[in-house]
Amino acid sequence: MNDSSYISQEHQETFERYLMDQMDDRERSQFLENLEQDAQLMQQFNEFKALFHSVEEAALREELESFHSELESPSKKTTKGRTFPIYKIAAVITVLVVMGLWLLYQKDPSEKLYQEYFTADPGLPTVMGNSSNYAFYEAMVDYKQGHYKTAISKWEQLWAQKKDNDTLNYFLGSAYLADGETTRAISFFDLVVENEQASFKNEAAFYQGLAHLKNGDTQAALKSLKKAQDEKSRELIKKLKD
Amino acid sequence: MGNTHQKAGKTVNGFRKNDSETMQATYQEVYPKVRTHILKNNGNEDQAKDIFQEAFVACWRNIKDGKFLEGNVSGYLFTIAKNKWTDFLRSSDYKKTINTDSQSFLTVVQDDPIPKEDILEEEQNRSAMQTALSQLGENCRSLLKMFYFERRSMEEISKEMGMAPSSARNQKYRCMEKLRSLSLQIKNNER
Repeated sequence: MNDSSYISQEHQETFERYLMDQMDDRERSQFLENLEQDAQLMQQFNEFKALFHSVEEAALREELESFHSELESPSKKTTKGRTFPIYKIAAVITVLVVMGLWLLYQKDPSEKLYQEYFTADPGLPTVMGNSSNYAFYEAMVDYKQGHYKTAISKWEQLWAQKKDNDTLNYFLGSAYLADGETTRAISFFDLVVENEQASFKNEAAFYQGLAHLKNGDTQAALKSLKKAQDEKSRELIKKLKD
Repeated sequence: MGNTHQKAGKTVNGFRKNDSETMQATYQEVYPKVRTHILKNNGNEDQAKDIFQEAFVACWRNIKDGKFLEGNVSGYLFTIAKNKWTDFLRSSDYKKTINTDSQSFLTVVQDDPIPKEDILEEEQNRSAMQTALSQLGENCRSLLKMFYFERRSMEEISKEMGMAPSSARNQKYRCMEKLRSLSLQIKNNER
């Protein structure tokens, strides 16, 4: 940069058109030719280009901050991004409910009981921020939105490091069960049920029972349910024995 | 194959035009990978974010400067971030801070390791201009941002700012003139 006076408005606007890709081929090649031949113009252009990029860069940095905050609260994004009219959603839900009811009455009794008792664990409240458990809660958000496969892949990465974390094991089991992979769900719940101190022991036993039920294995289901010391499990045991 | 190629070209073009949607999609795709990499390699959340954003700006700048013409932007961005993190781990600032406070050193990442003369000069210019920009009035800043970054038309901008198109155009010119003289001043004071 030198301290001589600033370029004319016309020059500035020509530079802008070039930098913003608004020139047609002819104008662009003419412009580049002028730059080649005129050292002063070249110098002015480079100086302007640097200023232009600095404005863009500052704006980009602001934008990156907002990308980042949307990353941390995906709920904002989903409400913004959807443009389906409400009646379409309602129609889809109605069809799903009807199909669900129809399936319910088609299935054998243990499947029916499973349908009756199974609602996915609602998950833990997600508190975002610089918590060291960020990865865990990030996956929790996916889980709560029903993106079980995404949640599973994120949790499994954590699992590689903390195989004996019972919260992690419990929610991996829950995610697998909600995703229909009963066998995997059962083995994760096993890890929790076997741990006397686990805080989700009852829940794990209950859901493990449901997973067996879904597999049609009533005996195994009873065995798991007996380990859960809660009302719902006792009720279900009674129905199974009837 | 042809499809991926097309997609890559679209991303490069999106970056060139500051297309918000393209950039956000890239951000969302690459950030989790960079984060995992940094967390696995002695880094924390804040460092992951800082390194990634520096890498994003560098990637965007290289696309603008024609240093990256075509190919997979996401892979390119990930490589830049990974290298930046490696540089940081090797830097003296990192070694100095290992035993002390592991939070406070992030501000120096950008200037490290000591670059070559010309890169240093370029960096100084850039930081002088960023300072100048922060001293520019709010009106100028938002006008320039809308025109240069968001690429909105002069008509639209003048409407939003409640002025005639011709005066918005004049003001844009004055703002750039001011930005230039401010950054020259700042640079001369530093010497």
